[in-house]
Amino acid sequence: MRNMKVALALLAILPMSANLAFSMAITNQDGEVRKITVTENGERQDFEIGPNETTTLCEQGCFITFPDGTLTAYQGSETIVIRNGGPALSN
Amino acid sequence: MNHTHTEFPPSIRRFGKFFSALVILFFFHIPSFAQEAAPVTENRSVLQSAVAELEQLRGVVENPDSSDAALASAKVEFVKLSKSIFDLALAVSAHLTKVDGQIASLGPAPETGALPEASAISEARVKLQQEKAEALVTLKEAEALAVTLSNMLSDIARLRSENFTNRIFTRQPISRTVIDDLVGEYSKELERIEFTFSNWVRLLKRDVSSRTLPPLLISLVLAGLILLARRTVLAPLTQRALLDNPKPYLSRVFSALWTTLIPSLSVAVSLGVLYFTFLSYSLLPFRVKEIFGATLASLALMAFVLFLSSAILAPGKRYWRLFEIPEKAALRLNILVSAVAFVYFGDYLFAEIREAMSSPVSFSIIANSISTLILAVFFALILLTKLDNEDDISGSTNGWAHWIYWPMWVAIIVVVGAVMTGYISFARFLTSQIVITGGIIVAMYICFLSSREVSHHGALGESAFGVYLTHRFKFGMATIDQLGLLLGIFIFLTTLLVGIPMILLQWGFQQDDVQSWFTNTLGEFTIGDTRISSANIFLAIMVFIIGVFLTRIFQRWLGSSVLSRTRIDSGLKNSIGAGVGYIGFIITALLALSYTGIDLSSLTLIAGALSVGIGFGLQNVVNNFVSGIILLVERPIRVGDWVVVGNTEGFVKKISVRATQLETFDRQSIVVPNAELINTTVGNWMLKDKTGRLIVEIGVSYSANEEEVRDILLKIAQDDARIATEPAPHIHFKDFGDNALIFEIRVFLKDVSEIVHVAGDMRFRIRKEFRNVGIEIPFPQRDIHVHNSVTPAVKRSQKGRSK
Repeated sequence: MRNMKVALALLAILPMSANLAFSMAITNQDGEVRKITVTENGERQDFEIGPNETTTLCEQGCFITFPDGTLTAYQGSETIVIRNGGPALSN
Repeated sequence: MNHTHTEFPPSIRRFGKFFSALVILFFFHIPSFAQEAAPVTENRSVLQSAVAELEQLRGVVENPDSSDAALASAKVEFVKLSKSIFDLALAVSAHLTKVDGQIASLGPAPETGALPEASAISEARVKLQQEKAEALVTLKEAEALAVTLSNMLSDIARLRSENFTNRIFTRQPISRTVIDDLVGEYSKELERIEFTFSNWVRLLKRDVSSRTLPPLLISLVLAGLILLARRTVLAPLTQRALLDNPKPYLSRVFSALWTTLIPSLSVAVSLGVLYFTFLSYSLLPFRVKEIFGATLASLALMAFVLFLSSAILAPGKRYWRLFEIPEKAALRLNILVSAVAFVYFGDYLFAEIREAMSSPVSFSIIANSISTLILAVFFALILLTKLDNEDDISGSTNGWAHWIYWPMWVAIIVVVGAVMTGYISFARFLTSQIVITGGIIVAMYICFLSSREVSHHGALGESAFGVYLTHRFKFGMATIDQLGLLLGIFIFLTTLLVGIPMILLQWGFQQDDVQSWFTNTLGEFTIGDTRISSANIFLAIMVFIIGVFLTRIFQRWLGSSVLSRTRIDSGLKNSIGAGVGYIGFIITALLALSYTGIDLSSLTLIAGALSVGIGFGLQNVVNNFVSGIILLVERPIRVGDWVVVGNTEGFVKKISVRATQLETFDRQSIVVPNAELINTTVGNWMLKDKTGRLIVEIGVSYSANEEEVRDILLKIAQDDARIATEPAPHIHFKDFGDNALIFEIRVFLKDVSEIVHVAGDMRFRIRKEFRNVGIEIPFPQRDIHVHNSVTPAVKRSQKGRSK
């Protein structure tokens, strides 16, 4: 009976832990290297993402400036792709 | 026949609870309580006010005279600003995406040279482009602000640590000049103090009756009243008799509490009244006021520590002690702690006097060095007190815990070294930390011990509080134990949550820092998509616990007040009570879960998968469980009934939730699953009433008079009290048998369970009556016909006989 309780508790925790992945994933769907500027916690940093590469960054919210000039604020849990130098939500 | 009430055995009760939990998971989908994003406000004005606030706060940061407290609250404001700006940026980004979509839906702009588009569309396009441009500008500004804010935050951190270092680590060695200064100013300083003091005495003497006496008298009277109260009303709380065996820990703690609080408060109140009456009668001129106040305050604090220490260590009263240490150690520690308090508060008093008199710095340097060194010596003496018994050769720490002993020695050495090398402020800082933090840790330790004690089995039950609870709410032993455990956990958590911030405050963190620590621990944090708040989880647990207790109390009330006034069978009452309990449990759990804000939709997936397996495995048990409930509600059989199930028959002894126990006439117990009782045909002799039919067959000789037989049999039937008169006994002439005339006595019994006895008794009487009247009960009859021819066998035998 006790083992059963433990097993059930573990099973119950599993789906909750599935939500623990944080930070944002960016995929570069263009054919060339794209450079983005990320301002996270007040610090500006440049990132280069190669073609068809995916990077994770930005855990708790950041500003991202894309090659085509788009500036957007993100919360940190989105999944984004870069298309034609600009952002698009992946679907 | 008695009908005993049905009981759910503990395993079934637990199963019922588990089942209810599954019900919650299966059938209810709790909406997640994720909070809404910040609404989109007027962006520009928000941004502008943010910039204004930033400039204001920047002024605070760049002001070299800003206190540490100001810097800390500025930091908190910056963090808030940062968050609101980012929320704004998120909202604007979302808005921007929408605008982009609207622009796209307008269709592509016309090429140069092609037909121009309709004016409405081009106007809309222009407007949307404008909005987009504005939004972009706002975003850029927000980003720039975020960078600025983060820079300011690091500036603040740097400034604060610089300030702290400057404050603590100034070097003020005891040099030649300092000592010369001291010697030179010493007599002058004394003169100044004497002058102030004599001025004051003169002031007091001037209008003795009208100005000096009244406050003195008031204070004396009040002190007298307090003393009286302590001797009479409050005495039981503070009395500590010499005992033979240790009191329960909780009682000791409470007694320590009262023996500390009451004397300390009375001293504090008396001294406070003295101070305030003197103040209101304008008897405290400049400088005297500070010194007088400081003297009274340090007296009160010293008294408090003395009371506290003797309350906890209880020298001479071994069984009241709150720590397990030998008598000698308690005595010595008490003296040392009182000495430490004396020096510490005395030093505080002298510091206040120095401040009031604006004494030169050299005085402070010397005084601080001396007091710090004395305190270090006392600390060392405390550590050298043996806490373990004489014969324990165990550790090298004299019985102190390792994590106290070694760091303390290091601290003592550091303090002495700091004084020697001139870092007086640092040494002073360290010693006051040791004293105050030590005090807080001692208090926390006592609370922890108390929480552990309360959780022990039966501890709460024995205490006065526990006894009160048992009487008021009629809790059982197990419930009190659970309450004790809960109370213990609660005390433990509260101690942590109160003690740690106090220590942090003591160590120089500002209130804002502590508050932000607090909110971070208790407040929300986001894990991915789920927003979890530990305060909410705690709240949820409290709600659940309260709900469960309320359910139980409701159940009890229902059972005692409502159900007892009905005529429902007690088994049914029991099941109603249990049912109400399960419903209450489910509702409470739902409420509590809704508080946590955890999204349960992922759980329902697991629950669905489980339910398939459980459904298959448990179908029989659930079948029986449900059948049991049907049995209790519909009651085709009751306890005490004589039932026939298939080939088994017996009396129903107990109806449980899964199965029913029958007892056969052989006193064998047969356990029948309830499903069988519901799904198959069950005969119940006593369902409607207790009557039943008895048929006794009797064969009578053909030579008897049948009328006479009938009369006799009828009389026998009517004579027996156990035979019902309605329907009337009936004598049935059944058959002309091969051997006899067959009669049947057909009667109905009042209580069919006596059928065997009645039948037997009846047969005895029949036999007796027949013998009296001479009626014969024949054996099987044969007519034998003998033929006349003499057979050789007969001749031979006759010959043999004559020989």
